[in-house]
This record gives sequence, structure tokens and C-alpha cells, in this order.
Amino acid sequence: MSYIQGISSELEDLIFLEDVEASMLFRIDGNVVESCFNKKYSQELLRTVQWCKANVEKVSLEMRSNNLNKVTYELNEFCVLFFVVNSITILTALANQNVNLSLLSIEAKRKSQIIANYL
Amino acid sequence: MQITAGTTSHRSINQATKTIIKDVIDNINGTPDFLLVAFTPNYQSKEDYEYALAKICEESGTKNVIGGIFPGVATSNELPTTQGCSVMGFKGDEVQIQPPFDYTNVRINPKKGAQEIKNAYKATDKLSKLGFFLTPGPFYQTDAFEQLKVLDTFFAKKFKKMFNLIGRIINKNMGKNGYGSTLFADTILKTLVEDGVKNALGGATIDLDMEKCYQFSGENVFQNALVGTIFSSDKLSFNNNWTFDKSQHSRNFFLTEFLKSSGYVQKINKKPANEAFLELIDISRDLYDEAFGKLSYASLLYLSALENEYEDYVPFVSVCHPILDGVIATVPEKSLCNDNIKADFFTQSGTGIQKSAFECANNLIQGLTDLRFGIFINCSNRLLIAGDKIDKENKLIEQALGEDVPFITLYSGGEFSLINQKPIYSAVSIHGFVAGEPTVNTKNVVF
Amino acid sequence: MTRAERISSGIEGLDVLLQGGLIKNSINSIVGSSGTGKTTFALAYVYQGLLEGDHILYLSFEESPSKLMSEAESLGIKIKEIAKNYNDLIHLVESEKIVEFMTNILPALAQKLKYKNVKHTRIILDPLTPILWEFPSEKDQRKVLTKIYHHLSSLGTVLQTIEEPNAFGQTDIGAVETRVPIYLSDSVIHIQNLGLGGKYNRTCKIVKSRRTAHHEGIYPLEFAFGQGISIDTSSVAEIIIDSKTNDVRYLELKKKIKEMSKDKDPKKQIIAQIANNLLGEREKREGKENIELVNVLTDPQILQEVKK
Repeated sequence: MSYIQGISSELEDLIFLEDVEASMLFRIDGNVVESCFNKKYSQELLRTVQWCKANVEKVSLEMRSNNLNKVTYELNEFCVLFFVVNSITILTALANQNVNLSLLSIEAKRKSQIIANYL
Repeated sequence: MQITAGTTSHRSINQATKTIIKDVIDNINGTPDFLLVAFTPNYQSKEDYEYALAKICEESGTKNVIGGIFPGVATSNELPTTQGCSVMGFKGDEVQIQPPFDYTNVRINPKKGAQEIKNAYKATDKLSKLGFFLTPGPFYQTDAFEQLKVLDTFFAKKFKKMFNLIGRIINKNMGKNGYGSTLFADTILKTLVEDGVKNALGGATIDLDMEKCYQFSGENVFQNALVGTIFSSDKLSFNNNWTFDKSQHSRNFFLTEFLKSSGYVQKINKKPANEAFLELIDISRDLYDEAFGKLSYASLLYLSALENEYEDYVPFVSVCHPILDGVIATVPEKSLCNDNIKADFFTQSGTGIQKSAFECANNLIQGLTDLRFGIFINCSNRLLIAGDKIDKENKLIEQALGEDVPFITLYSGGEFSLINQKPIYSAVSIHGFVAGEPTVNTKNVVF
Repeated sequence: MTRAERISSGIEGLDVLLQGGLIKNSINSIVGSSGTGKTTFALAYVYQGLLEGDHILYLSFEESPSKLMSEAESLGIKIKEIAKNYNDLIHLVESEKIVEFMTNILPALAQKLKYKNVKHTRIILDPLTPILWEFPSEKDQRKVLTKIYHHLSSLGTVLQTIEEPNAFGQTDIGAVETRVPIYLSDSVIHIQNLGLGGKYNRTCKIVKSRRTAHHEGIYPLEFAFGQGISIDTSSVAEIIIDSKTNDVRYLELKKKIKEMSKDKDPKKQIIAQIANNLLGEREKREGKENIELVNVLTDPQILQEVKK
């Protein structure tokens, strides 16, 4: 399996969790390395994805300078979770606000460690 | 003695099963004697679990398998997963593990379920023995909310969003047939005491959505069954114990009025329970709603602990809700017998939870050396409180047991222990057992 | 889409991303900040040209030919072995002569070569940035560059390198300093070095490529001895084998987006842009899902939203 297939598979695992709508691997400057979406698209989701893309740079700067591992935002109908993977990539999970954040963060942490091994 | 433990994670149950067979079960040379298999509930369909178990039995060559579904599963040296499978495999003569027993409809007749455990327990005459069993998760009996009926549907809707966990139980299972889980676990433990069973460890399978939960025995997947086995040995000793986060004890109070059928507390200190609860945690209604409106599990940070004849405190979850006047609690129905029940109030924290896990593991190793393995039943609520810091808890257990000692942790919907005939049924706690060689009693050494 | 004649860029992986290579007689820009590998890109392009027997016109505005040669050598690009007299290939244009060179000499040179009936030429402008400094107004830049490009593209395929003025980690490729050449280029390749290590530290991204359904992700890039630079396209290679990419539905979708982007209605243009961005990231998505995406995007209700 190529490294990118591996990453893609890990991201796909995340969207199989209940209420998780999208998972993306961003580089800290906002470029998307790989992403995975739930089959149901909505305008709200697209808007939130755009928001993530536009803000990941700011968030990552904040995370790096303050040594944060995880940041959670609530916006629109969604909850966005940023998880540091390594010095240049950030795992982002986009979920419905009713998501069980604890379970999601356990899995996101797990995934970020696996993805870090690919990079 | 060969013991392997491992965890795998994948969105597809087939893939997860394949990996666990390859990476864990195949590590045992020859056919394993016994497998403890735990899957997470996300795969949902019963057929999926049946297929996975059939595959595990076929590839491993043994049908001595028990297990069930748990929201989180973990093994030593691995991060816990909420989407995958953990397995512990055994082969060797040091510990005898009996062929698994199962009893369906344990919710209707818990005493008969206890009989199964007792029979298996009495069937072995080894020096050390311990019953291990898994049950269905929380269910409410038909009349659980009888007295709330007028408000039922209204609450059911409101509950769903505010309290994922408890709300969903009420929303989905109110009025369904079945025995209250707290009651049947309590009954099993008390029956075991009467039958002379000394030590046991158990946990309830659970899906956090409170939909279906499954128990495994051999190739069979059950929905309302008790499954279990007996660990016994002449050479090794078994220690079992339990604990919960007692670090933040705040004050005492009295449960003054409650529904005896469901653990629903109407009045605390003779005031409406909801109001009194907020007073206890010293927080205003608005602030509570704002802070916990979307975090159902945050309410689980508060525990009411009841005194009982065996222990100082046995903790239960209390959940406050903006619309109810009362407080929902997981107190076993039978404990609600007097009119004035003294309770203690504890606040749970991530750090406290970690410390209590370490404390539990540390207590377990007392008097043992050369540990072989450990099995822990941890509360799924503790998993929710800890979130992604849950691996720290496992690291602390590892620290206590020693690096090379394999262990498995199942995050359950109820934890039960029988410790030298002392029955403990509790919530938000960790129960465990370890096997090791007893340390030489120095008193017997003659110089 | 008409099949344009393409030439190999000489960069491993880039031809895959560009669906076969650079379009013949096009203007191509490599944009990146200092130390990202722009010149190495250019040298690999020269080397490939020499292998294919192309004529080379390397106009260096900063480095001397000997310095460039030693740089090529250090990376194992064996230009020297093929072209004994590299001074014929590489010409240093000194800064004080830039204005005259750009306005008079270069057009004349181009004319001359054209009349000589020289075979396909690979023209390298490395870096274009000093020229831009000489013509600070965007209007002048546009005027000079259009003229030059007109002459050069009739001669062969142009590769120019542009210094990205941004600070570390920022990717504002639309900065004033680079706007005009990017606007006039047929293809723009953005290379970055975040300086933090790891697989995605150095990357390449095709920002724009006319007449090419190029891949839009970011791809790891590394310096490789012997070939200068190589781009990791392992993720793309699989897509090419995968029949999904050539799925008619996918092509249909691309067409739909393209049509929408040309629509006079600004709302539709915005939607096309969003769809294009998302598609770029999700080349691997199934054709059917892509169609669903466009259906969502063309929903009248969503149009209303955008209008708001």
C-alpha cells in the first residue's frame, strides 16, 4: 500500500464514525494533502470545509506557538477538531454538533499517530 | 504459558478481524486454549459479528471464545480504539480456563444466570479460582418510568439532544421489555454470595446509543445473554479489586424521595432534586446549561456514592436535566429502600481517573510476583471523561503491572466484582484482576 | 479538449501531473521563494532539452554560467557532458542592461533565430524577478512581457522562474509582485519549502495550466541526484490506472464546471470555483458522487444562499 493510500484509508476510518462528516489532512499552510467526505453533501458542510481551509494556517500557527495538540471549534451546525500530526500537518475532523467528542478525539488521536508514521 | 494481547482498528469488521487473527491470534503457537474477544459497537449488524466470530473460531481452531461489544477496547502497548477489536489469547497449563457457559434471557431471570456461574465455579477444585462473566448492558424495565408517563414524550424529545447517553436510553428503551440493568447485575452478585462463590469479575456489554448490545460465546452472538468462564490455577494466585476516583469528595446529602423502580431521584435534602443538585455542585442553572448543554457526558463528572454494608462508598452517576425536577441516577433499585438515604458527592476529573486506575492496578499486584496477565473492566463513562487522554490511564496500568505483562481493558456499561464474597456493583469505576505467582511467605521460612 | 503537443519537462513526476508535459510553445512559470529549487527545475528542463536535441536559450539574470554549471554538477545533472561549450547555451544578462535587453535585443534575437529556422527551442528566463523590478508598474510589465512572450513562444517553450516575495509558510501566490507574469503564463507551478522537515515539507502544486486537466493536489518534492528534482506522484499514478478518472461522468462534470465558470452570472462562476477546488482535492471521489456534488452546487436554494 502506498503511503497516500494508507493515509486515505485512515481518514476514511474516521468518517465511518457516527456523526463525522469529513476528515482532512491539511498542511499547516492550508493545502490539502488528502481528504475524505461523507457521501451526503450539504451547503453547510461545504461552507465549513472552506472555513477550515481558510483558517487552518491561523489555527496551526496558534497550535505550534502554544504547543497545543488539539483544538476544537463549534461553528454553524458543525464541530471541527484539529489534531496535530507532525510539525507540518494537521488532521481535521468535521462532525455534526451532536457527535460524541470524546470518542472522536480518541480515534482522531489514534489516527494522527498512524498518519504521522506514514509521513 | 503463552498469552497474547492486541488491538486493531479498521472501519470494516472483516479487515479488523483479519488483522487481529494475523497479528495476535497467530502469535500463539498451536491452537489457543481460550480467547477473550471484544469488538466495538460501530459495526452494528449482528451478522457482521457472527461472521467475525466464525472466522476467529475457524482460523484459531478453538471455540473457547467469550466476549462482547464495548464502546472502547484496549490492550497493553496499544492505544485504545473505538472502532476495532481487542483480543487476549491464552495457551498453557498454568491457568485452566473452562469452556465458556452462556445463559440467554439473563435480564428476565438473573438468578438462573448466577447459577451458571456457580456451577462452573464449583466444577473446579483448584486453589485459586475466579469467575469471569459479561452481561447485557443497561435496559429499563417496562414500568421504569410509569410515574413519569404524563411527561414522557415531551422529555423523550428534549432528552435526546441534551443528554446523549442517558437521554437515549430513555428515548429508545422506555417501555421496552426487560429488567433494569442495575437490578439484574445486583441480583447476580448477591446470588453468587449466597452460593458461596468467592471471587468474580464482570462487565456489561454496551453500545453508547443504547441500541443493541451483543455477547459472544463460541461462534454464537447473543443479545440478552450472560456469557462467562472460570479462571483457575494451583500454581498462580488471582487478585481482584476495584476503585473509583475518590479524590474530590465534596459533601454529604440525603436522598429523600425517589422512584423505587428506576433510580430516578425526585428530592434531595427534601428539595426538588434538580435544584439541590445544582446547589451541591455550586453552579447556577444558566451556567450549567451553557456548559453542559451539548456535552452529555460532562454530567457524568458528578457522582453520588451510597454507603453500603460492604464498602464506604459505591458510586453512581447522577444526571441533572433542565426540564426535570428530579435527577436521574443509576442507583440500583434495591438500594432505594429507606426514606432517608445518606449519600456522598464526588466530582470526577481526568487526572483523578488516571490516578484511580493506577491505584487499582497497584493494589492488584500486592502479594504477587511474576505477573502473567491482567483483565480490566473500566467504565465507558470514564472513557468519555478522559477522551483522548485515555491512553495515559493504560500507560499507568502498564507502569504498575510491569512493561511485559499483557492486559486487556474493556470499557463497559457497568462493572461488577465479587471480592472475597464482597459484592460490588458500581458506576464510573475500574475493576480488575491479575494473575501471578504468590510471593513466598517469609514467616514460613525457618532459618 | 484538443490534444496539444507536449514536451517533457525533465522533472520526474511533473509530466504525470500535467497530463503529458508542458504544452509546446507555451509560457510556464515556476514560482517559489528562495531555496525552493527553481533554478534546479530550470537546469533539469535544460538537460531534458539537450537529451531531446532541442535548441537551448538560457537567459540568466543573476548567476554566471559557470556558477550555474557547478550547481548542475553538484546535483548530478550532466549538462556539461552533452554540451561541451555551455557558454553557448547560457547567457548572463547584467542588471544594467536588462531594460535594453528586454525591449530591443531579445525581440531582435528572437526574430533572428526564427529566420534561421532553428528547431524547437527551450527558453529559460531565470529569474524573471529582476525584469519585474525594472518595470514597477503593472501596466509596463504587462506591455513588455506580452511582447517578449509573443516572440519567445513562436520560437519554443518558455520556462521562467519567479521569486515569491512572501515570508515563510505563506502561500499568497496572488501577491502584487508576481501577479502579471502569473496572469500571462499558460501554466504556473508553485514550489514550496516550509523548512520543517517531513514528507510534505517541500511540495509542488500546479496552480494553473491552460488546456490541461491537471492534478490539483500538493505533491511531495525532493532533490534527487542525477535528475535534479523529483515529484512523488504515487497517489496520482494509481488514479491513472483507475478507470474512474476516465469515467465519462467525471469528464462530464469537469465540462459542466467549465461551462459554469464561463457563465456571465457571477454566482455561477463562484460555484464553479468552489466545485473546482473541491474536485481538485478529491480526484479519487467516485464519478457518481461528483455528479451529486454538482447537483448540490447547482441547487437553486444554494444559489440563493450565494446571492445573499
